[in-house]
Amino acid sequence: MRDWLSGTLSAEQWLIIILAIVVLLLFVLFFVVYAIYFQRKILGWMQGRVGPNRVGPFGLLQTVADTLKSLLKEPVIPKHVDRPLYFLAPFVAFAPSFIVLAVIPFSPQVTYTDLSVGFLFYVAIASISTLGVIMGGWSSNNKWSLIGAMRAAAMMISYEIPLVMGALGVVLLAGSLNLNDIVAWQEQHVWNVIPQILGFAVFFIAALAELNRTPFDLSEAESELVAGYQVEYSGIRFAFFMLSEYVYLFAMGSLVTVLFFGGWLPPHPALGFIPGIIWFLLKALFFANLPFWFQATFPRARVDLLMTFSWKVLIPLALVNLVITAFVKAFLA
Amino acid sequence: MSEIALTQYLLFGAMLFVIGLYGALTRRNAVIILLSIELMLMSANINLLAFGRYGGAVQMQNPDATLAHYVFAQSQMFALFNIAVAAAEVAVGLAILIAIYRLKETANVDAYDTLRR
Amino acid sequence: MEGSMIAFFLLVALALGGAMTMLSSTRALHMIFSMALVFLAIAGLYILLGAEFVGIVQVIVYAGAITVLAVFGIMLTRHDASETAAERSRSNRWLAFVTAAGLFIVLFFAISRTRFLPVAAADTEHLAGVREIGMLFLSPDYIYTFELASVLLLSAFIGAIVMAKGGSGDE
Repeated sequence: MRDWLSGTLSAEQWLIIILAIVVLLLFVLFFVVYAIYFQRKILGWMQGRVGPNRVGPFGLLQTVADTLKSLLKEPVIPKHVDRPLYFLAPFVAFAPSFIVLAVIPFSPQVTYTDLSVGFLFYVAIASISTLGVIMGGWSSNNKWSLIGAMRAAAMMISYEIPLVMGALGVVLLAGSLNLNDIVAWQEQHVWNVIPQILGFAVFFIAALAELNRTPFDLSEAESELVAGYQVEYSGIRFAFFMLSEYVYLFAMGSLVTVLFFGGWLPPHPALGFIPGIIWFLLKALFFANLPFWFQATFPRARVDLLMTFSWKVLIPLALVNLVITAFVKAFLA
Repeated sequence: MSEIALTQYLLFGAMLFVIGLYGALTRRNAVIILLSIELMLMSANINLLAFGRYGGAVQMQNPDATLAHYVFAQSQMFALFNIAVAAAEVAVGLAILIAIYRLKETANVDAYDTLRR
Repeated sequence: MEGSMIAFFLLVALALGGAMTMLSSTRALHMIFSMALVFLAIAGLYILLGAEFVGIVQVIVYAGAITVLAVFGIMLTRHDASETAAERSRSNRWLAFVTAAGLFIVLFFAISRTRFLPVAAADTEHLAGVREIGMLFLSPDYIYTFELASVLLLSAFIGAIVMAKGGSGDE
């Protein structure tokens, strides 16, 4: 990472960097379009409906049409908003969701940065999105959006703790915060999900809360809060909030894959002829789509139980996991 | 001036400290005063890290790099202590503010003058 | 021009710009968000200095937690927390400005007059990272300080909850 700091970049290097970023962005946008399509299809299938099937074959172009609609729509800006913050909020919410992808090792060849504190970097940058949510909710000057933003902020902050502590067992085993090292450790030993099943459970539940998905989608509970912090947003600004939500879905799926499911490693060495990136994408897309299944089958948690669950169940569990891992590591070593 | 050196970081730290001081002296909202104090703490952190990184004397007298690295690790450790103290300060400060707010119904520090009357 | 020069001046401009916006804005929420920009820019500077771990901790603690806490502080206290120019007394502001400017002039001369020993060619590859910091924290020299810091955080945590809840007399 440091080589560009100590020298100047040539034109080709700039070109390669920019191209790599554009490729990632296009891929992520493509993912978001089809994640929304799959979400609607899965939900429809689970509820005995067909789902989108009008635009394009099998409705494949439905999301494209929706995106075009929201881009072409006239942006409605309510009169009493706090204008600078109102305009800034969608971008503050979106930018971190894309930045966190920089530290994800997609395969041995496709790694954007090899940061020594990669895992913490993800958590730190993701916490900036909370600011965007609060900004949007407060500047809209609407009580629903304010309540939604307060809920989202309180939830994201308190679930960050079990999220990090759930993954600490993995960090302890691998002896590194670097995501590449964590995958390398799993290559030599075993996928972390087996020794760290408790850590994985805590991590995944906390991740659902961080992503604001069911059963923790209280910040945008349609039945009580209209649509939460984004209620006053329309057109392209609303699209940015949606985009950040789905990019996080992909990023979190990737992080779960890297931490607990061996990143780019095949399930068995005999399957190594399939390139690592395919394995990575298969696993990451599975975990990115899992929340849709939950969405169709779980009821929403009650708001007063939310904090209790994090502080009295998840954090003690994560601590127990951490202590056990430390003991095992100390005695085996 | 081909490389960023100690002086630039120290000057930047001084600027931040002065801005934080001005903010803490002129603002009336207790939350903002707390944040201004954080700014001053952070300028101290910048000085710590810059001295640790460019600890000129240490690096000149000891060509082997181990001592320089020890000094840099130490400076990072001090900065982390500083951040921990700052976090504790903000948490307690805001809690005190909310407790006072219940009595006075204002966040303006000029209204907190019970001892003067 | 090296990459680090560009990054340094960009981050300094962001930090000072954010700090100036903080001083000039009148609404409390604007001040907090411009302060968040300052926190992020300073985290960038820490990383530029080679202290990656400290920079990341800065983002988590300041931009992630303290800013949100401050926003909650503003929202839970009265909403008209915005300050109008008339609220602040003129002479007080002048005095503050003179103090701050005077201090800056003193610091400026102190820093620019000092001749620091030239720095040996920096070895950027093997800067002390998380492992070295961790070993130092747990070394006999600092272990008690480290434990004290944990006790401090724990007591601050409990104290904040007790105070914000309003004591036992209310219930």
